[in-house]
Amino acid sequence: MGRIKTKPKVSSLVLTVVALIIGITCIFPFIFMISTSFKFNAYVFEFPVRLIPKPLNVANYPELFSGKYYFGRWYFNSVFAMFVTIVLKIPICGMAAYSLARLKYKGRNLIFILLMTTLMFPNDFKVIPQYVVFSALHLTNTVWSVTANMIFEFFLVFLLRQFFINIPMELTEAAKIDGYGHVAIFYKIILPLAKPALATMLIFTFTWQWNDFQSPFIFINDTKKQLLTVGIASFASLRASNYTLQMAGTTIGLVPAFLVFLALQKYFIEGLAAGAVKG
Amino acid sequence: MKKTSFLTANRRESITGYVFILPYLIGCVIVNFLPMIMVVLISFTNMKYVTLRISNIKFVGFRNYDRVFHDHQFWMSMLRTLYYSAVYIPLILVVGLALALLINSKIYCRNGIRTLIFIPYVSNIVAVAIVWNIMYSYNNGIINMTLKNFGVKNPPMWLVGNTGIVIPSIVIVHVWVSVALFFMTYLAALQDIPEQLYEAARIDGASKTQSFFRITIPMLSTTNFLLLITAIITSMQNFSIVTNLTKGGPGDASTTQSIYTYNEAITYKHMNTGSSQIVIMMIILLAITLIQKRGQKKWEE
Repeated sequence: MGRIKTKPKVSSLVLTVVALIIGITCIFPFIFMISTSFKFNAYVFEFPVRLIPKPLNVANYPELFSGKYYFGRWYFNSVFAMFVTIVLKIPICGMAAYSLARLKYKGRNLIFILLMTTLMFPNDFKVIPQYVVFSALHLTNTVWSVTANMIFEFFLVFLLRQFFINIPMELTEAAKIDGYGHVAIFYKIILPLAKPALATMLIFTFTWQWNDFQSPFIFINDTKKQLLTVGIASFASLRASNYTLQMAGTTIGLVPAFLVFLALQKYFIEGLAAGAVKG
Repeated sequence: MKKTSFLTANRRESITGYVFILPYLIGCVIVNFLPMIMVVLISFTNMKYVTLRISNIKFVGFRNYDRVFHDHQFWMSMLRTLYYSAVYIPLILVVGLALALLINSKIYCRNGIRTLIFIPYVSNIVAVAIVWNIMYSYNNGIINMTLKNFGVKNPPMWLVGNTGIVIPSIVIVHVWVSVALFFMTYLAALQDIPEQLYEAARIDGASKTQSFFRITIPMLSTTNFLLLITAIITSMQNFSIVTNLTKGGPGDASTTQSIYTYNEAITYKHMNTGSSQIVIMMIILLAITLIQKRGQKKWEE
């Protein structure tokens, strides 16, 4: 018995070390990024790599916001686009999911199937067609062009619909007897129950919107209106040799997504698992 | 009396249903359906760039398609996409499964390590590309310096090499960024396999390798199939990562179909032929989806 007990412990220890090495490999580029952002350019390619910079350079971060670049502007634009997306996506998609899950009307299944087909075409195929429509509607270079894709994305509506379906129908029936209308049932009964699903929706929306490169890259060509992701990319190609300043920029760009992920990772992982089951 | 009130309740439910779906539906039509319809229409015209002066636009039948079919560069870009997928798909499935098996085994601080694996997934592609570009640097990047330290005389050119090496280099970064989804799906599937199966096998004297190949792999077949389709589609979604890592270069060594079509339609202002390319890709994607549907039925049987 004792032998069996100690044996898994040793193998567990070995496997933990292997897993830890892999985990560190996963985040090494980010550690390297942060450490480089505190170096002088002459030390970027030093080998072996010094993760604690010596000599230390703290001038990069103030420089980014010094007004020489549009960095603060891009940051503001990204935050603003995020605000618009969340404020519109949560009610619009919440209502749509509720309608598809819990209200009966003619044509509902047809609408659902039509919306499902939008999942089939990945963004790479959609952006150029969208460019056509957005240019014709004069939506390029506006906040709508970089938020519309995220607001009307269907995957999260689908997840929310699944969640709504699983809430017992008796709740609605009981509320009706109490004299509630459909709108009141939605706001006062269903939405409060759906908090975990809404949290999943929120964190995915945040991550995807904050990290989106493609929409701003294609729909925005005015530097002042650019979002942070594309802004950093253009900034990097203009200052190709100033690696440490680029690293400071990318680090600041990553912070919000990392913080939100660490705070809400439970919902993130649950959402991913739920989506994966469906495919 | 009773019957009419029942009817109005039904009507009220219908009206609420339509009103609730309407804002989403309008947006979805503008964002998804209208663009697709426009692109199909444009692919049959001589429209070079987006304009509302419709008087100059003529229908030209299949001429754009004819041009695309005879465009050697387009087929080269398709081949590069194919190569990209051929490297990406097996790699992401194997790495995803290996990570899931590792995390599913008896290890310490499992959740902490799982979080580390997720970090690349929630980062943005611009940051990833900038830091990997520095690490991949041919002369003095950390990867080649390490290889040289281990005695490798001619380390790879990575992102500045020819097609043979530049595409796998991009794929490595792509796998690193996107593996969390595959890892998580495999992990969920592994945790769904009933523990009794392994116990029964152990009682019957099966070795660990035997139960892996006789229980784990067959139990994962649905997941494998699902992730295979996801991998195919993810591998075709390479516009952002290629743009940021190499811009399709050096030369056109990493100009995949998505980059080529973007250049054609937007950079060179050939919206018509660009649209034909998109329609061709849409048809290919449709075919993949149909195969998926048939395959799904087969698995479910």
